[in-house]
Amino acid sequence: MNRGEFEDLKIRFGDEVASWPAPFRQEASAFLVAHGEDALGDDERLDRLVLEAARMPTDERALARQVMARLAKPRGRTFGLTMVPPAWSIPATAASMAVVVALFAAGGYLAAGTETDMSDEALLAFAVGAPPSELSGASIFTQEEGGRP
Amino acid sequence: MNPARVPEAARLPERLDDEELLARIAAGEQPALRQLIDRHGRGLKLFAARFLGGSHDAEDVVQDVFFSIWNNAKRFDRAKGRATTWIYRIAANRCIDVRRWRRFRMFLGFEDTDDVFASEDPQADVLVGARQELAIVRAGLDKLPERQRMALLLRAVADLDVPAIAEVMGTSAGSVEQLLVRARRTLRARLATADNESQEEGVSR
Repeated sequence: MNRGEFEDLKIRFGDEVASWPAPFRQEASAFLVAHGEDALGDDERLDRLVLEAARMPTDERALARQVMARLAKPRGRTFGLTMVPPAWSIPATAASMAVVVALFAAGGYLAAGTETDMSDEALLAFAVGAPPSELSGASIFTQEEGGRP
Repeated sequence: MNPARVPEAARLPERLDDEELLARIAAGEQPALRQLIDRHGRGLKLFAARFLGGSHDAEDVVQDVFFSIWNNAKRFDRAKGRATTWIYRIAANRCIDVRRWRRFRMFLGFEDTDDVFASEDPQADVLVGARQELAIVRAGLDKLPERQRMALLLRAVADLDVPAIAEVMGTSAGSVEQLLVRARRTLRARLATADNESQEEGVSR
């Protein structure tokens, strides 16, 4: 910051540097320090380095234009979802998906279990490698006939 | 920053404090929002950019913050705390959301680790490159644990005191002090190491 920029900020935010918003306040304070009008401790010096390291060009007018343009539009949602959902929605979505998958798996198991029940004899014959012709003789019992529920 | 250019908002007839501006925003006055952007746009952008490691997401975050302020200004209660603290709390939460979303996308394989954590602001690197000390601090900041980085940025960039940082981060003042001590110690150690290395190089020549 130079003297001209400091004076411009005084016009923009008033004479009292303490009431300026951050980070203009610290930058003005650094300017005053550089001109021997203030003294810094170790932590403050490091914090000032951090602020300098974070410094980059900004354009508040462009930002204001973008925000105002966004306010003029209806809420920016795509298919009912914001582009970056809030953090709580990620575990909630994952849990919901897990519940849905578990329900479908249980439903599928129950549906398949009642309709295609192979008898223990047929499974045993299949396991020992009996030909399909012999297997066809093995009956597929219904639950009433002693098959597995 | 270009302080020589005085934004439109600064030409408003009155110079209001943040609490008064929020009250006017709650009443639907857009010039008040412009003035708030003029006051805090830069601070929020620097905070978000350094916390997230790049300026691209930071711009979205800052827009989101002001959009959220516009929609929720009525909820601000000046009896519960300062406006600056409330504003930075929104920004901090949004930054955390963005990082979690990035990690989730990375987990799903939609985003590359290098893209997520690499500094994506070459312009800022050029600015900083002029002083090695700043480059070290910048690299050190990127490597700090998230909470330490947030506490230090809230202190250095937003100029919040320890109780206000604790409020923003939803933790105790003691915890914030510890985070600041550790973050500063790490950065000092990095600066000291770089200083020793440059001295050794000087001796060997």
